[in-house]
Amino acid sequence: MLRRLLHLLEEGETRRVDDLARALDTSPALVEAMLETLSRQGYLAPVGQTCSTACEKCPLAGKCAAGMGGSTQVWVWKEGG
Amino acid sequence: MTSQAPAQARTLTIALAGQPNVGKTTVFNMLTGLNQHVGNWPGKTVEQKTGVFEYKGYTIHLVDLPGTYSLTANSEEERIARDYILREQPDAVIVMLNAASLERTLYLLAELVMLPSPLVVGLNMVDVARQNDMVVEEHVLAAALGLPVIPVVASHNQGLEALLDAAIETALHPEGGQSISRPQLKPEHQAILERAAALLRGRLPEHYPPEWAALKVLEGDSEITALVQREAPDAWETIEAWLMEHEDTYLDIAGGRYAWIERLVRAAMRQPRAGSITLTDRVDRIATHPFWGLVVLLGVFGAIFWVTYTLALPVVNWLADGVITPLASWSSRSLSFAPPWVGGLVSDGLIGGVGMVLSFIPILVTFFAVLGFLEDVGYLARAAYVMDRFMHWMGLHGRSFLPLFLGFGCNVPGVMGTRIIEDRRARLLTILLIPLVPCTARMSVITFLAPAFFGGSAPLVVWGLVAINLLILAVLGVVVNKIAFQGTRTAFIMEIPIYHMPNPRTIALFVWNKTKAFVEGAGEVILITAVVVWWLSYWPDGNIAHSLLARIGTWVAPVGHLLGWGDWRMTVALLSSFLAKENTIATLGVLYGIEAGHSLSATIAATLSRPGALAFLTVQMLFIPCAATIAAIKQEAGGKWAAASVGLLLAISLLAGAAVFWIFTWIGW
Repeated sequence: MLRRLLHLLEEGETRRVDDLARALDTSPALVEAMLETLSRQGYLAPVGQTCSTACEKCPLAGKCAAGMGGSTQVWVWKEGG
Repeated sequence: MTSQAPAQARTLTIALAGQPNVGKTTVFNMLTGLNQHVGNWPGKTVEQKTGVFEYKGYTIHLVDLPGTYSLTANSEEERIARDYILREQPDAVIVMLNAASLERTLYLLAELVMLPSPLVVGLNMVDVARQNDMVVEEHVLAAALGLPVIPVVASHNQGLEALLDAAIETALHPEGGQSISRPQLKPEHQAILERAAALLRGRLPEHYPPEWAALKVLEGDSEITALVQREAPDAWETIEAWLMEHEDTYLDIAGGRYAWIERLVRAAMRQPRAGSITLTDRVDRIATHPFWGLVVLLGVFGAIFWVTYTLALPVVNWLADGVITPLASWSSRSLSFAPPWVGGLVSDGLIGGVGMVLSFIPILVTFFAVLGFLEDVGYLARAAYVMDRFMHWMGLHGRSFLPLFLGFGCNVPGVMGTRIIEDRRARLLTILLIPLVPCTARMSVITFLAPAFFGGSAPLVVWGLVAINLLILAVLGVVVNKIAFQGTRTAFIMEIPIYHMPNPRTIALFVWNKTKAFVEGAGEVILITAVVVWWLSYWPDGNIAHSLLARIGTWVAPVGHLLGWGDWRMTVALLSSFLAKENTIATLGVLYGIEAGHSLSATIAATLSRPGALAFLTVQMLFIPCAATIAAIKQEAGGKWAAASVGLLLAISLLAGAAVFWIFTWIGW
């Protein structure tokens, strides 16, 4: 299942966790858990951690569209991860 | 399951393992009470907590292991936890799971079952799981795992006695763990694992089980690999050759663990009620649809402008005409006894400049409230998703898109956000695009000025300006994608929350904090700019026509003429936006307040023709970024790129402004 998830990510689309769960016929919670594992192994990077200082100055830091500091977790696929 | 007290008191060592935030420390505190010892793990900076207490005739040594996600040597905590279990061999290990997040917390257990320690599972937060309509059937989980599973609510001290009883029973009868379910590998990797374990048998320190060590080597664990290289170099050569042929062993091992987790969850967890998920799914079928999602997004954009104009503009006009302008006149009269420059500074510089900027607070309040509402409901995440798909469709690379989207709040974090782009060339080109994203400050200025020029058509004009802005951005983005990314695509994965009722308190707090920050900002750079602009417009003799600013304005006026601005003050107002976008309003307030002494909106509306006014708004939307953004670009890309950004934006904004002016003059608008 982890391998199938990687193949889906390698396709390069932007996807929601729910879509991935549907494609893998599993629960969103399990997909989230796998994404966290892949993130710890360097396949993915959580978005938003590198610019926390800049976000402090931003009037919309808590509300920005990509969820930096908001309720949306975003990961980006790392080429060659 | 209750252990009988033995004839002779016995000491048992029990370790508590679990992922962070699983409630492990709560269990530890509840069981040990005040009998705790807190120190550091030997030679480490990680905190070690141990406790000793008597229970049913046993002396229990309870050891709280550091919270870890796995047992691979990724962090000091993980090394400590596994070293303790391997070296100290506690009589039992209690593994805490979170019933409300079973999938996440089972991964550590998937690793622990590969060790020879007797295990007991504490299923914590069953109350939270129940509140989320999730029920974990512990007897099914226990049967599927082959381990005792005890449901607990650690925070309410429920189930802890049963957990302790189970741990003691397991410690006394560890042979019960023979039927434990364990993750499986693919047959070819299983064969390698067994052969590697055979090679390592008797070659490593006694406390390292060869099967476990072989598994860790196949997984790429740096510490165990170094141990094998040191203790069994010949075995390592063979294993390394196998690994070269099977580079995907890590994925197989981790994948096997997740397949194991899925089987357990499917067996033991009753899924949440379909209702709430179905509602979100039903709404998302439209809200995130490739086409209808975009229509909804455009509608939401339109609604934001409509709500802002409908609610905020009457208040803004009342503040400007009913408060700021009379206040400026009153202060001028009141200070008639003082030297003329004092009255001019207070009424024109401070009240006319800073006061005018503060008068558009209602716009910001409404804007923040609407954004806060959309975020709290869960829509903004969908907006990002829909926009990203659209940008992909346009050919813009996902890695460029995300920083660009951040720029809507403020361009500074947008520039910083380009750090997710690994390729330097692509990153630099994306940085060049970010100032084209209309930030909140730009939008506020446009929202304030558009009604002055265009009255009831203002929402349509602003909507059109944003659309043109995004179109220019998209076209340049496509060019960047072709040059820098050669059409490659990058995956983004978004964990999107379900829709829920907004919390008025959260939104109110957000609006308050952001508005407060804006007012404080107005007290700094905008105040200074207003005073400087006023002084330049006053010196040397108090007559603006002879002032230093008039001389500067006359020098830059030819540029303004090309754009349909007959009055140099408009050009100067635009230039002052370099320090902060809001300065445009402050400068207009100072310059026109001095001369007219009445409503700023009416004065500047009379100054420009409609094509000239549209050109002014166009240039304002696309003009060079503010000083903070340029500083961020300089920091991230260097001075040359900051200069290139200023040059590019200057050219684009002036060309677009001139085009708008001449086209609309030609069609006689």
